[in-house]
Amino acid sequence: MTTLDTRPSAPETPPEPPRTRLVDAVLDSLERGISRLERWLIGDQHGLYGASFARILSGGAVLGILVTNFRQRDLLFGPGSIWNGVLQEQSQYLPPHLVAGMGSGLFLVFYLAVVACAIGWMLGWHTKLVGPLMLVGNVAIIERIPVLGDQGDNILRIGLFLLMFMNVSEVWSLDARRRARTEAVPVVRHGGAGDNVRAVVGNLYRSQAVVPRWLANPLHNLAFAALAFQLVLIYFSAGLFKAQGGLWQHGTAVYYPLQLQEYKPFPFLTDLLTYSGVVVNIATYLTVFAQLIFPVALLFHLLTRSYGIPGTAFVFRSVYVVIVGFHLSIAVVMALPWFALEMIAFDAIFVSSATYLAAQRWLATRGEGLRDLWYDVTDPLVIRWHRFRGAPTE
Amino acid sequence: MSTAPTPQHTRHTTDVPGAGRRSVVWLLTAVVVVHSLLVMLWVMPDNPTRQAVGPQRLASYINPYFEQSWSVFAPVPRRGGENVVVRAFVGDPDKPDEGKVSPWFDITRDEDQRIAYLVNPSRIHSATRRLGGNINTTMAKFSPQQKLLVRGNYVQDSPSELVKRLEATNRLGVVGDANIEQFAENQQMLTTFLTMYTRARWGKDVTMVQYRVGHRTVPNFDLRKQQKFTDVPFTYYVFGWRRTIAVPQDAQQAFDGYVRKAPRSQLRPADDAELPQGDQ
Repeated sequence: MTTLDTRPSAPETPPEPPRTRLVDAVLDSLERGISRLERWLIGDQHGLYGASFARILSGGAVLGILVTNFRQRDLLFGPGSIWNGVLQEQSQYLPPHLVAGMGSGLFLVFYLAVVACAIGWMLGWHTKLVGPLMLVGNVAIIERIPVLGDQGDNILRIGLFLLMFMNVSEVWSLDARRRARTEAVPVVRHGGAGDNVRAVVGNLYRSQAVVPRWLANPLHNLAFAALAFQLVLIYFSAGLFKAQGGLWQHGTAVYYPLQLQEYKPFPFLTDLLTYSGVVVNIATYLTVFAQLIFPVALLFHLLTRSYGIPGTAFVFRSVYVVIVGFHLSIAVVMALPWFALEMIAFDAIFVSSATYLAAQRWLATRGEGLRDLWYDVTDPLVIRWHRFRGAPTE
Repeated sequence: MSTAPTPQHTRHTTDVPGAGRRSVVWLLTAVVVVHSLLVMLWVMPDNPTRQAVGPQRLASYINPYFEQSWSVFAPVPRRGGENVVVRAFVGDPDKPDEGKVSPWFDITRDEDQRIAYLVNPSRIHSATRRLGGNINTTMAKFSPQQKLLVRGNYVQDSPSELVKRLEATNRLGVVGDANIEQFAENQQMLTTFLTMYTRARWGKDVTMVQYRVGHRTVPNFDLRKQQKFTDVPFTYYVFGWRRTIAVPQDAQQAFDGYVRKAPRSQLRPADDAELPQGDQ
């Protein structure tokens, strides 16, 4: 027998108002965005090839500046730099006081030590140690002469500072070679403090990781993002300042600095380039346009890549090529090679790992002879060094 | 096994950790975001947000380690060239009639010759150009009376006496004071530089220097085929004689190794009109 259920049926859930659905959608989207950002920040290290290339080129810039000024080091940074004493006294940097009391001989030793650090940084030799030493040493030297400072010093200091937080020795470095040959010393959670300190020092020496991945990855990625944003700011603000100027609007601005003696090392070349008004006009407009468009092109590139839209990479690549070409041209035409190299060095982080790998493969297939020569020269030295240290060799 | 990273994965791949560690990451992220925003306010052209934050407050964060300015060659591109021309007095400044005077020497032109066809010049070659440019900038803001004061000799009196007189004639308030301070700093630097330079060139007995700081402008673009910049004559600010500044021996040695020595025959007895007959 069936009984009729006379209880009142549960009321049907009323449909959600459109406003609630919208709020949920926004919150879901926000949650997805946050977890995506967390995965990007913590999940892996990005742009490792670019960071390594930036290390090599920035080391080259430090080395270039120091070698270029080596013969005049005492006049510029050492005891002879007292003509610039008024500004030295006002300097707010801590490092310059490192060399303030050094005589000529001691300063030479200091200078050569920083040169050695720059070479070590370029080669990726114990980068966690030589990097900070090079940065402090370079600032200590360069900031002894504020009156002759330029924006190249500023971007070099800021860029190197950010590189210190990044993993710059993952590839193309002696650290990477050492890391591949050695194994990490385990740090025991409940082990003695002395053992663990020894393990950390040992791992540092072997170029093995000492910071846990959950922290090392965001440090690298945040510094990477900060450097990228810094470069975007440079180009965009430089473009904005230029766009305000009448001579930039007129399309003839690049002509004027090119006439100054200090920016005219090859007069015939400059005269050739500035002979045609159309060429000057194009160069002026292209400079402003590339600087202003750089952040937009980068954002467009990141978005289209993120959503998998093919065939759009050429936009950013075109702007990038113009920017790098601009730096290369001022290196030669305006005799500003180290400023140009600094900018190209840090811009290297904008090139994807896939591109670097493709370039590496291309070079590997075309440079086997050169590679064999390199290993023929370096392998005996490396083996001899390991024998000297009593370490096992393969 | 190769540990080289691929575009997709590296050996650093890890899972997102728990809330405690994530909060550390978010704190680091906040630091980077705030830093980047402050840098953005600093480098952009002047704007209301920057004023709201306060330029002084911003400067206290940025200076010195994040100091930067990207208004390079903008809005107005550099089109001025400077030079520094110097001559020296060798002998006792109290007996000017018995001393000798060198010819005028254009240091900047000499440096220009050194950097021709050089793609990586040393910074020292820009020293007089930079100091001269700084001096010219301050001189342009001086009143005619102040410009006259600068032409005077300051041999018995120290350069600080000149600064006092400039301050006494300042009619521009705080702006004028800042300009005088900048002038004084650059005058001190230039006089010290020229002390060591002239001693290296004309001998250790140089006791006074006199200099001129020139300026010329790149002709308009439309005239580029008629007039070369290097043919444009300099317009000079002339400064009176200044007593040389005492410098340590090792500093002088650095200049001795750099500056080309002039033959002693360059020195000649001074005309009365050229020399300071007491400070003016």
